Amino acid sequence: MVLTNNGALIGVDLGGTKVAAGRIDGAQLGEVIYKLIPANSDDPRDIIDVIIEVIDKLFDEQVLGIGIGIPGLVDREEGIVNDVQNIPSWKEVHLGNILETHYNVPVYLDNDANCFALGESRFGKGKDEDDFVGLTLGTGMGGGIIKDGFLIPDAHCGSGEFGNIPYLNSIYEDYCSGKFFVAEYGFKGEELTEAANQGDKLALKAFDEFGKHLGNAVKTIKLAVDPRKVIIGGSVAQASKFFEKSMWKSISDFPFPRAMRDFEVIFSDLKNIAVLGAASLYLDRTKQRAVEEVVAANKSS
Amino acid sequence: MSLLTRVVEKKVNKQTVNSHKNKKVLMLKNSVIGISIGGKTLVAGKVKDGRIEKSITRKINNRAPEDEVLSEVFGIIGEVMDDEVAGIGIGVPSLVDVEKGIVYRVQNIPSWREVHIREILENHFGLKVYVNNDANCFAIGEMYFGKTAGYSNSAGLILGAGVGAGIIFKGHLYSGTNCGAGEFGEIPFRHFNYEYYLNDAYFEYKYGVSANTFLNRAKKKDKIALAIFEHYGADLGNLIKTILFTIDPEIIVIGGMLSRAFPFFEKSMWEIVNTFPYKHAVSKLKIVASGQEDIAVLGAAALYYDAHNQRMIK
Repeated sequence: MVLTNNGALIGVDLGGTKVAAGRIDGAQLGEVIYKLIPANSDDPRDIIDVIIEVIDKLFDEQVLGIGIGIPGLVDREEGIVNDVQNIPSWKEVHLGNILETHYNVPVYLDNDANCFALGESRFGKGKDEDDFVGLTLGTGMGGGIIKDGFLIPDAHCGSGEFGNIPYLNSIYEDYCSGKFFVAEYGFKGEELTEAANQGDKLALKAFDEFGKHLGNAVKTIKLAVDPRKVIIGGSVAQASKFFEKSMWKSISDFPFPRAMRDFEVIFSDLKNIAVLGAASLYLDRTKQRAVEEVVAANKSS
Repeated sequence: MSLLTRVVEKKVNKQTVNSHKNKKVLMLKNSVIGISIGGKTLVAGKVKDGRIEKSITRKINNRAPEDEVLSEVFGIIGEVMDDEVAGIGIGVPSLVDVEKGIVYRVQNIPSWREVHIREILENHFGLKVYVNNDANCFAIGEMYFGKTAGYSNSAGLILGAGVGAGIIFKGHLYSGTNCGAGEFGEIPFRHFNYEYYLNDAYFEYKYGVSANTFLNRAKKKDKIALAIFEHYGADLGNLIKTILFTIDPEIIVIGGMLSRAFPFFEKSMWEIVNTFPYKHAVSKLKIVASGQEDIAVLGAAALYYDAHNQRMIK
């Protein structure tokens, strides 16, 4: 997919422990670079300095814009980071402004799970689908909602946080991410995947149970936002062949069978999706703005 | 593209723009009939300038065959119809194909399994007809005429015989691909789902006394009734959190019979909502009770206004 004919985009994925960044020229994502962040530093500026250090390695006058995925809630209009998990010193950080002043190009922020969905929409399994939910299952569980080809314009970038929804005695994330395998079986997801590949009965049972819970999560998503597809990525998605069957069995009692006729759950293994998604924030925002400008012109002229 | 074609296109665009502008100005002045199909009652009203000019409520035989219920609908529309009316909006408690105007398996009307209601009414009255489910009508009605006016992102949550919500993003209804979005009541909760614990019949089923009786007792500060609504508020708080995690609205307006108990469950509801991990988002959140008796009719009429404003974008 050609993003821009001349010019490049930078995508940054801020995690709890490290920052990853990459640059897209035309259709091509270059090397993705990583750097650890001092997450527990008292001075919010320390982390910003690391982000700038990483972007500096990729930036030149060809760059049209920078997109950043944040593990928390942001004010996307103002470019302010409000709540971030794992970075206690960050309270109301005006990251957008700071970076725009520094680089003099537009900087767009959004929630990291929203970036995942956007990455699938622009580069992955969601390219031909306008209405879907992107769900990422790794050490945690998050999601983003794509409607009419754009990220849904929610109030605080907080929609699609399906992992936090109350479920059984806790929340979905505890049953539908790597946390489930550690808590219930004492193994990491990767270890169980390896064992399941060898035909280990306990590992297969673990995935079977996991699929049941994931099926309930998918039903909840369908009931709440009614997407055409759910696209699942993240490390756990790589073991989909071991839990797909029990997931569908769990979905089969959905109360509105008509709505399920053209519904699909698909698994994705796109590499560097977080960085690609963050970079495509530039496209999402500029194109949404183009639509809004036409509407505003209609109203005022 | 030649220069000439471009100039022509520009002119055409300009004309379209102007006609949109006129539509916008005239819009709320357009008279629209709103109809709420509530299972055992039909309510129809003529809405103009944001208020109901005349309205009729009628009990129907909900066990009657499809055609008989339809002729009741024809009749009640006819009684509020006049030359000013520009369109008709209908709210139905069922799954709706909004694009095609078909309602499926309507609650409490067993004979309405698949009714092509838009086509039938458009043919009969020669006016534009819009259909949506009752929760979506409630949400869009509150945005045009009620408590969520002025907010871009909201949810209208009905707590009554059923539990469901309509979702508004950027001032327009978000229906999902099958008009199935906002079915929060069906989401698994404890041993069943949210609707099980939060619908009005649960009070009678669980405690042997109707929700309405508890409501009257709570108003008289009856301790048992207050404790029961406190418990209800905690369950509702979990549903509200689920709504925040899925669609992240600025304001939630609560309607349906149980919204009248709002003062009695508000506190315990907030105690649970305040456990939401994103403090910034929840500090700005508003949760209010509707308090508008005729919102179902206003909301059905608002389908017309929403459709016209959405069309301006597309």
